[in-house]
Amino acid sequence: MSDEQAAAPATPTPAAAPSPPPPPAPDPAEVAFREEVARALGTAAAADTAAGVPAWRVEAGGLLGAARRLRDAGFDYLLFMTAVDHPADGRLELVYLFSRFSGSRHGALLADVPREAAEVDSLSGVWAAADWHERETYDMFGIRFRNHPFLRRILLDEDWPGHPLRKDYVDTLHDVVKRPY
Amino acid sequence: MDNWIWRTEKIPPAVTAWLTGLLGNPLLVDLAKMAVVAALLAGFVSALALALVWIERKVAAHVQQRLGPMRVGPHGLLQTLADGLKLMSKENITPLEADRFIFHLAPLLCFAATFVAMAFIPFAPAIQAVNFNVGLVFVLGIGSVGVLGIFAAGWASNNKWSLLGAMRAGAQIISYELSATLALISVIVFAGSLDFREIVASQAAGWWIWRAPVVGFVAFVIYGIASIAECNRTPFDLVEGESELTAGFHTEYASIRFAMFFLAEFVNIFLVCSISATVFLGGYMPLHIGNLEGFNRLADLIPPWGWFFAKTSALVLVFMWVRWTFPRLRVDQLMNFEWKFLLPLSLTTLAVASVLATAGWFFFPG
Amino acid sequence: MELTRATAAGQPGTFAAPGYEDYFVNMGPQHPSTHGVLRLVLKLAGETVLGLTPVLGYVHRGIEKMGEAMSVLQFTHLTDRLDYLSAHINNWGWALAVEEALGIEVPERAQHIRVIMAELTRLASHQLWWGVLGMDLGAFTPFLYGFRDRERIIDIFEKTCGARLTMNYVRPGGVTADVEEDFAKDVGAFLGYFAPFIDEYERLLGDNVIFQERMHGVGVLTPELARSLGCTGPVLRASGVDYDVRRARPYGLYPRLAFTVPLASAGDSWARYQVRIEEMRQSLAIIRQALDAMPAGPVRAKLPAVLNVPKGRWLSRVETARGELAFLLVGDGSAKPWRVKVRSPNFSNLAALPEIIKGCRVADVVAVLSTLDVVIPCIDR
Repeated sequence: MSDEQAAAPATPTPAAAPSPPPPPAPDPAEVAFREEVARALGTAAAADTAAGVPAWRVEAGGLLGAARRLRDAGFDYLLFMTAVDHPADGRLELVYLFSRFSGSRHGALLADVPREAAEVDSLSGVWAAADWHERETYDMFGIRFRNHPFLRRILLDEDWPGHPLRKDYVDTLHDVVKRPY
Repeated sequence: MDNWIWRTEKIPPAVTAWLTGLLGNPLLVDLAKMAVVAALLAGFVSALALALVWIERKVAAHVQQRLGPMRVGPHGLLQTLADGLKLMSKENITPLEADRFIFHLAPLLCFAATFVAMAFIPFAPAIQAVNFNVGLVFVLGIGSVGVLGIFAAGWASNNKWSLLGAMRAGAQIISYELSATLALISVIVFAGSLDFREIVASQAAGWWIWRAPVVGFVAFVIYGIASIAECNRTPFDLVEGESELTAGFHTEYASIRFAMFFLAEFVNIFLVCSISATVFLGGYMPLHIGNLEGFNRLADLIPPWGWFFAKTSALVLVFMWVRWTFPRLRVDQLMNFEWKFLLPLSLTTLAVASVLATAGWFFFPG
Repeated sequence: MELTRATAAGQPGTFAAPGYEDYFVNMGPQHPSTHGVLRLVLKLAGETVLGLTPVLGYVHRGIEKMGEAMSVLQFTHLTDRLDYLSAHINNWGWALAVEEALGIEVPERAQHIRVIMAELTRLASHQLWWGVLGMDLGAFTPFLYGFRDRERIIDIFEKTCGARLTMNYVRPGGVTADVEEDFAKDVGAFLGYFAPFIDEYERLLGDNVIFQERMHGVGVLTPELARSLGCTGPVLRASGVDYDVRRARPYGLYPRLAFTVPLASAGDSWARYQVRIEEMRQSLAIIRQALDAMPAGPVRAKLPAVLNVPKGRWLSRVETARGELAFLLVGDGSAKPWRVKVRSPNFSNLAALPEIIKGCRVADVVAVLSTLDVVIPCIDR
């Protein structure tokens, strides 16, 4: 939670707000998993420190190599691949969620691409699942995937202007009434 | 039991006599008879189609644990009439690029084929619109004209899905006609005639389904299966496979033209069931068991046309029952079934039947 | 039309160059058997399918974009409308994501109710699937039998949460409200009523030789392709891969429940059919266990008025009736998520269709699509 949250006066609820959970004691299976992934990825990847899903960051150019190493290490299950827009940093963060069918733990492979001229290698040769997920990411964020077999928009019309999931997307096609939530 | 209800052969002479008294000129009397019969036949077939649609809906409903039409008339009896009126009031759409002449002709072909074939069916002694000495062959031939209608509809619609349905129809109906005809001929070799009247008369000693040992029953089953395929009914309804082709060859037809296809299909069902009843089940002959006088007298209480309709209706009910139970066959499975199983079986049946018939090895020969 | 021209030009992985007999047919978007608004461009040579391209997006509503504009509690409404036949399970998946992010503990009674609702949903979904499978193959009666039995479950849902389709009942923290007093009696009665019907379903459709001929060997999905594409659920298990989120990464009450995960090895439509029929039986067993052991107590944890999503990425994974549904929740400290990603099981399952349908007939497209059991709103989001 951000610092403002912790220092703010108590929110007007009778019961105590659930405080952020204390960092849990390192679970040995978790530690083993992290070590295994770090070994598979080698020095190219740096462990990401954000809370939640264990994540490793690589350079956009090293994505294909890292994916191949992961797949060869037995991570044959790509749950999905998507992007997160950070306009403040001027980057699009690609997220590849990998796991294995014989195991229970999942991890995320992260890579940053610049928001303009966002281009990266396609992983559809490593995991066939990446094919459609990359099409969707292209559709929603405008990231081009090199060597993709059929990079077309998948959910929107072929001639749709813009990429909707970008934070600065403005819908020019419809009469949208924006309601403040 | 001597009046015209049971002894229906009294009706034609009586009508002729009445018309002669009315008109005098024998030519005019013949023309008038033709007109009367045509009108009666038309009325009967139309009413039959309406009734069959209602029965189908009710059978379907009860198999599916629901009630079916209940509101329009008592127990939905007037539902088909309402549907017919609705269909007649809809817009007659013709697709833009459709082949207009053939598009308009196709439903007429289907309906006319079935309609004409109904003229040959013997409902009761002497109650038969047309009697022909090769009646059976003629009926089978006329029934085939229906394929032309389906083909024409699928082609003229300018719709790839309709075309797919029409192609399937061509393959299917033409293939299954072979087995159907061979199954019928297997019994004709016993009856010794293609004339419907004589076929029925030959069953006075017993119905061919059991009188021709084994062969009669096998031929009956073969004809039953083949005729379901002829009628494009499930499990052979991939011609109009609803879940694949939406409506197959008649997708593009609206309103009254669709109604004609629809009614033609139901009359066709009645037609093949009545052929089956005539050839295998004795037509309008009552069920007589040997020397059981009491039973035979009871059986005779039902007029011949009552027997005919009872037998035909039982078969129609089996058709409907099968329709709502089975999934449909794929086109290659259907063709395999016909050419690799049913046709060899019907050829064998015919061979065996010929041997049995010439040797006289069947019940109550002569 | 650009899509067919491009594919006709020989894009790798799609179609071969067209021969003189080949033609393109559109299946959908309005079609009785595409299970929703899905357009399939088929390349046919006669009746044989040479290639298939799905065109998606007809039901795209921008759910992920909407997730960035509403609070995490409000987003529950939208999760019902993904795969609407697994509504409770979708709600549960989202609730898990929020609970993990915020460290919320769910009371025991709520866990039991969640499992019962989820398994009832799985049953209802499979009943509908069975009925629609029959209808797609031409047997119209199973459709009504499946729906007749499904009504019992929907009645239980309506009694509990007031809705028949879009439940919105499982929320972060627990469930919205406690179940009615006769819940145990209703569910018990349903279990007793339905158990013999699974056998009837098998007799009616599964024992039918025509049905078996339509299913055997049709649309074979190899385990390698299934793994590579990320297929999950009964589609994957029918190819022999033993993976079920309820077993691999148990959530809720599943660690304490005894059930088997049905597996088949043939990978064809018949295997997928068998797996789902057996799953129905297993669901009955799970519900029985959860119902018998249900404790009294609260059904919802106390939550603050405003749920602020902490900074980080949280992933929840649940097993819907169709496969693995995952929610990625990226938070930035405010009450609205920074990014919501919905990992749809049907999206990955449908990706298998173009490959497994090559060489089959047009009629098989319908059969395979029916056994893949896709729900289009989940794909399109």
